[in-house]
Amino acid sequence: MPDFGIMRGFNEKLFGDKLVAGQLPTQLGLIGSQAVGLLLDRYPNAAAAYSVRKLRGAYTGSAIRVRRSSDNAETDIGFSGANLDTSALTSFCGASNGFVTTWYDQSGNGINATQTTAARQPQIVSSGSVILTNTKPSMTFSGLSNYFQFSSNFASFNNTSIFNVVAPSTYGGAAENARFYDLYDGTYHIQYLRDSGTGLLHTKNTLWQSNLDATRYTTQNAPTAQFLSSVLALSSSSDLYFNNLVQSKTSSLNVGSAGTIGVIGQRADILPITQFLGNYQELIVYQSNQSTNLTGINSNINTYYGIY
Amino acid sequence: MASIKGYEYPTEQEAITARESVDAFYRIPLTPNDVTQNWVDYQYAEFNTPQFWYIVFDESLTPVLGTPTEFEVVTPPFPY
Repeated sequence: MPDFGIMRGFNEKLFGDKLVAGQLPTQLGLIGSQAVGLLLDRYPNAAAAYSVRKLRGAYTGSAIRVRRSSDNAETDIGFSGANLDTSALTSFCGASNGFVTTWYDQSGNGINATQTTAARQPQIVSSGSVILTNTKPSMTFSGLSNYFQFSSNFASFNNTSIFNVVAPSTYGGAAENARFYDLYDGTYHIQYLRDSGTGLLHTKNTLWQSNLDATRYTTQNAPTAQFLSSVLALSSSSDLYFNNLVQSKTSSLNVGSAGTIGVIGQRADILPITQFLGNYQELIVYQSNQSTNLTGINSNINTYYGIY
Repeated sequence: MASIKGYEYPTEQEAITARESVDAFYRIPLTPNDVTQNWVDYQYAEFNTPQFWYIVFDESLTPVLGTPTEFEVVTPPFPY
């Protein structure tokens, strides 16, 4: 049996993964052609997964597609190890700005998040410098209601687990009712938002245009700082976590009949007064109950981004 | 009700024509394979009477669409 003792501490510090006998450590995987300790390798079968880091070793696609402001040319940007290839990004953009046209789905399901209108595209490079939140690349949603729409719909599902890393900048003006994301199946939707009345973060698992159903408030004022939200919208309960701390648990309506659409940074009907303003780094959606993996997933995310 | 700075159009076709003129000015899309298809989009003021279409102001639009105006757009009272 090889001694993984030295690697164990390194691996846990880098990725929050516990090393077990017979299992390759993450860092070994990164040295080779396949990363074995990335989030979706450890907690697989996401329905859709968007990030500024690599999430799955077998994923061979790009992280994002970027348009540069100097001439509006576009190119795909991949990874350097487990990180976004920022050298390729700045090399392509030069001294100009860079805007994200596509946030590629790393789950393998091909549900890319796209924005075809230049004025709506989140920004990732500013005057030749990669935009960072807490030292990691991030996309700034600003101005004219930047948002992404999923390029195709989900199949039906009965349980939903959603994890996202954001850093809101303000809730003024049209961002009073900021939607971080919205999954909508034509009848019900799961939204994660700031409530304009209370200022609290909460998730709504409701009938469309209804405020009567499974609305779950946190006790947390919507922050203007980086945080990790975790939502388990299950058939039996709806659990909400802020930086791995449980906020509320209760019954749930659930959502997810065939044809569920998704929007990042605004409500599903693109209502202008629901825009999110701030920075986005990761959104992962499972069509399954991830309650037993919740702590591990949160730990993996937090270890990479250093949120709390 | 939201006060919007931008460009108003009584018909959707006029909004489309305005958008196309901006796309031509900025040469969008640059290639057929580009994801980016338009420089700006237009929106529908469906709760106004009469209804109209509009483009929200951005400084990049001034060379093509000229000086913007201010107008009111009715929004749902409770954005559930």
